[in-house]
Amino acid sequence: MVATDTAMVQVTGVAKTFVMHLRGGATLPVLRGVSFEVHAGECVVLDGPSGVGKSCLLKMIFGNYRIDAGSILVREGRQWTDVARASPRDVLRLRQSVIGYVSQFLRTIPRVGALDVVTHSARDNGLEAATARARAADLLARLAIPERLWQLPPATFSGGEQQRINIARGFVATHPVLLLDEPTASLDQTNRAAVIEFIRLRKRAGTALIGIFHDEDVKRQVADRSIDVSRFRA
Amino acid sequence: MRGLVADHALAVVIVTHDLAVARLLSHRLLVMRHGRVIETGLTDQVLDDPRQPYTQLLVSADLRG
Repeated sequence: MVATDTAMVQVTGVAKTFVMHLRGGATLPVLRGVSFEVHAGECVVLDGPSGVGKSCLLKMIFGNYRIDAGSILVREGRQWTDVARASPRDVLRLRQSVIGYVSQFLRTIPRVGALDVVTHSARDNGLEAATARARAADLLARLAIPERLWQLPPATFSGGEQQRINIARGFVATHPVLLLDEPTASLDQTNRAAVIEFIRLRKRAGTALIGIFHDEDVKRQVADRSIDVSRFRA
Repeated sequence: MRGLVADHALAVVIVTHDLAVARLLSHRLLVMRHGRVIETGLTDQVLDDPRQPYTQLLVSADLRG
């Protein structure tokens, strides 16, 4: 079942159809026959036109969307866990220690300051308090978030600032699998370069990355290979 | 409350109609109707990919999504 020693994620025969009960049970087939592997130290880009199911696929790997067929195996040390069949507690454990995710939009608890938001993420991932805080501060600085904003809740931040908090939250932890949903979409040139550097560092550290990037330049700089998701269109 | 749960290893059951509260505070979610549990699972999975007609109705009625 497991092909090689360096595989971190194995997606096999995955299919997804949404059933919309409020529309009289109308079905919306999205993906079928999705199969691919991602190895340690590799960045795989999910390609294809908007609406083809790229984000949907990332959400399935993160355990956020359920699947109708197939399996999504994620390596956890020497053991493999099928996200599609794992219990909620197992999925939560995987998200703590194995799978990181930078979503398109930031969702945080009200009244928690930006630095704490990022620190919590590192703590969840198992970092000790002082190290977590130091790493969080370092990332916010490298993403050019002014220090006067660090204690403020990100809800009031601009779109670009919120996305940078989201990126810091994803990269402050050291998950061996990292999912990126358009992390550079609302960033300026300098911050885009910072994110490209983060991705390169994580590749060197052996992280398996799966990302969606609409920016061709970013894609060229980080991708080891790309997968055309439209070939899995249902 | 998340802090209390984490620091003191508390087990908490919250009853709410506020889906934003459910999303932010709970790990797992049980959707009930007419006294029965009709759908259960990881909170974000149930809210983002609801299967039961009643859960879909509930989620679609929430202004914040």
